Amino acid sequence: MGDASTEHSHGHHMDPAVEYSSSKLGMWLFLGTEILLFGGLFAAYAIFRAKYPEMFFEQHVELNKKMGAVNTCILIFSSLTMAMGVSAIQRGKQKVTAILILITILCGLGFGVVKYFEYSAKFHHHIYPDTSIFFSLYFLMTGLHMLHVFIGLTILSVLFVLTLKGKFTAKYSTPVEVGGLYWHLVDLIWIYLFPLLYLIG
Amino acid sequence: MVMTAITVYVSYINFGMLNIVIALVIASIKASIVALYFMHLKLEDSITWVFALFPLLLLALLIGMTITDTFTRTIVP
Repeated sequence: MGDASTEHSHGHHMDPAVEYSSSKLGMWLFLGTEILLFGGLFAAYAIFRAKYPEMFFEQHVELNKKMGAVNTCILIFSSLTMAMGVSAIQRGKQKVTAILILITILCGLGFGVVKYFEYSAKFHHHIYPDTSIFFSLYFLMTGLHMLHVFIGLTILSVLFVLTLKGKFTAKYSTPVEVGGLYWHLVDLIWIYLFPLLYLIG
Repeated sequence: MVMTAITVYVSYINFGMLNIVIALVIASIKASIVALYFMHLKLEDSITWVFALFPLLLLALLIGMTITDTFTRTIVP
């Protein structure tokens, strides 16, 4: 016991199964903190919407429902391709995984392009974050979300390159899975932002 | 995506206060599908479920408590 444990005391040679499950668990924990980061904004949204329902209703009309809906579809589709990428690498199909991650990245970029047009349309109509509480929340919530999209795209690009280099196999797919979890969170947040901001009845 | 179409469609009909409830229910169904199947939560062990659900409890506390606080305050003259 003595020799083996000193040799392994640096933690570089953890049991692969333990490493795998604790990596994922760690990611879930982080995702929990992410939900609470957005939670503060959701709480602010709830209060101001309850206080000023007319203002929220009048101003949400300025938002482009079609663009919002298109972006929702793009993100859900990208979540699907990411999930397919994860199952592909679990079966050891590196090329398929690389293609699926690439599609996911392209969808993420597409989301960014649509959002860029939305933001510039708002600025064109002289709508800025200081226009009203509604638009403050709109820019802050979608902006923080957009930041997550960019971080997600960075992670996905790294995963794409490493997959092409053949770093991941059926036996070692942890980074792809953990990166995938992050990308799904980006989708999850948007699933709530879309109806709350764009679809005020 | 079908769900998204339904939400957008439903948002044009006026149910009064029900609209927000319907929108959030549809969003939650979508979110559950993403979590259960895309994120493989369905296949995860119970500790992962705790890690996934506990933040939602905290979120409910955060929003619930802030709302009850804000709307039960009486302004002292």
